[in-house]
Parts: sequence; structure tokens; C-alpha cells
Amino acid sequence: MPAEHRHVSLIGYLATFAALVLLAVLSLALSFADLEAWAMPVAITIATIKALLVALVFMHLVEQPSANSFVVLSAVALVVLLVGLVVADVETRPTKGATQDEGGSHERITPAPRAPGAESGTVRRSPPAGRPLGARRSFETPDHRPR
Amino acid sequence: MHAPRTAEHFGDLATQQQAARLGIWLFLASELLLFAGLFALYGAYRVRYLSAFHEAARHNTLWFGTTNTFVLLTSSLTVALAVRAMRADRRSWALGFVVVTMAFGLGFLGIKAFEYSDHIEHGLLPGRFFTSEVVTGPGAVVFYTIYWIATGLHAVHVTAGLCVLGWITVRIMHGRIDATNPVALEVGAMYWHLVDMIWLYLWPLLYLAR
Repeated sequence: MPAEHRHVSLIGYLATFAALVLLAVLSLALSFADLEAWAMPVAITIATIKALLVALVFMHLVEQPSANSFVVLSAVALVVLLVGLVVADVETRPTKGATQDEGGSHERITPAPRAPGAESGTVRRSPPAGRPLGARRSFETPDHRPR
Repeated sequence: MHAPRTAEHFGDLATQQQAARLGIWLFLASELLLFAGLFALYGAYRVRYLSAFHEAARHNTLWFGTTNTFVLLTSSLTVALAVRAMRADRRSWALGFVVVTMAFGLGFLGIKAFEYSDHIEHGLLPGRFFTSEVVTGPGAVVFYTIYWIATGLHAVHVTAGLCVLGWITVRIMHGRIDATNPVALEVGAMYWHLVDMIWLYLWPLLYLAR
């Protein structure tokens, strides 16, 4: 008994490819537009739509049992969790000590509250004022030249 | 011509083939999580060095990255068409499409090698080897460290994908992969699609975010 009963047609493959190319062109065009804070979310969204098309059509996820989709969704959920929480962690830290360049981010209105006695178990500590967070590497010496 | 064999512990060939597909999805999920660590690293440092990341990305040649994106997208199409041809018992077409896919993959690596030599020439190297005077600051160094690690790891995966496709080419030529059991080709094609999908995320993060 054949495993799948419906296959993607040739038109399906070619249409998907056309959509992928168009989305890539769109992404490229938008990179020249000044979207400021929206630039990255837009780019990632377009990339995700393209990845979905590749997974569903080229990788035949539409034809396969939903158990396979479950594996994919679980992996994606874990990736979103990992990247999302790491970024959220760094985003919500106070910017004290970020000197060498603008420190990259948005203004803090109030620093994040620190729980009393929370030092144990944390890897990072607030650096002394004027020193970048975690600066220990040679490339982060003030003259920026590697030894 | 060898008939596909059902292994003893599977009820029938269809079940064995489904198991192979589920297996490759699980493997691809683990590969995705491997790269997710690098994406998380990028995300964290981007928050810290936003303007430096934009500045550093401007020193990546946009057209190399964009060309590579279209090269990989096209290679995804050709390998998908190879699977379609194999399912329809058109083995010579399938073989042709796989070889074309490999050619695109080699093209990607060629462009990447050229780009890397360009970066080396300008001192845009990872970590302690960074010597560029044009773009400076810890943010730039971090950006290029992540760039080299992420694209380097991706290039390793492209190379592995080429080896897999090469092996599949040989097996198709020997008749070990045919329309009754095309799963080996499907599995190899799926690995190739993953390589393309990773690049679909690397491209905006490293080239478009300027």
C-alpha cells in the first residue's frame, strides 16, 4: 500500500519556488527601507514564511502523517523559547556599564530590580561602572586591538 | 537492480519508509537546535551592540549573500524535483536533478570561499584575529566572530550535504534507489532542504540587518 495518496504537483513545486523568490526579493527590498525597530521582526517573519513553504511543500510535510509535523513544531517551539528568553533576558537588564558604544539598546526607565542575596548561582555580576559587561577578552581592551 | 528489502521488524515497506521519514525529521530537529544556540548568541549580543552590528553587517557584501540565497533556493527546487522524478520512475531525470543540485551546492561553497578570502584580506576575522581598522569596537568583533562560526558551521553542513548527495548519486546509478524505494533520496533531499532553511535565517541576520 503506498504511503502517500496525494503528491505535490509540478505546478505546486514551481509556484512554491516563485513564492520563495518573490519573498526573498521582498526581504531584500525591505532591508533598504528604514523600518528601524521593525526591520528585524519583518525579516525574520519573511524568513519563517519561506521556511514554512520549504518544509510543507519541498519537504513534503503536507503529504506526511501529522506525527512528523509534531516533531517539527516541537523543535520550533523550543527554538522560539531559547532565543526568545535569551533575548528577553539581555533586553531587560539595566544598561549601567555599557560605555564603549551606545550599548545598543533601548533606554531603561528603571533598572531591573535585584532580589536580595541573588548572587549565588548567577554567573554574571554587575561590573564596576565604566567597564563593559563581561569584558575579559583581549578584543575588548580599550584600544580594541588583539594582543 | 535490487528490490527494496523490508527489514524484519517492520510490518511492511510503507511502514519502514514512514519510520525513515520520521527519523530524518527528528535528526533535522536536532540540527535546528544546534543552530538555535548560535541564533540565541546572535540575539543576545545584538541587543548589547545594536548599532555596531548594523555597522559591521554593512561590511558584508550584500550581493554575495543574496546570490547565495538564490543559489540555495534553486538547489532546493532541483532536489525536490529529483524526488518527484524518482517517485515517477524517471531515474535519469532524478539523477540529473541531483547532479544539478550538487553543482549549485558547489557554487555556494565557491562564492563563500571567495567571500571569506575577501574578509581575511580586510582583517574581518573572528575573536583575537580581528584586525580591521575600518570597522572597530567590541561589537564588530563579536559580530564577525558569530558570522564566522555560524557561516562556517553552515558551510560544513553544505559540504556534508554534498557528500550525502554524492553518495545518493552513486546509489541511483547502481539501481539501489528506485521508484519502489525512493526514501534514501528523500532523506538526503530533506537534509539539503534544512541546509537551505538555515541559510534563509542566516542571510537576514548577517547581511540584511544593516
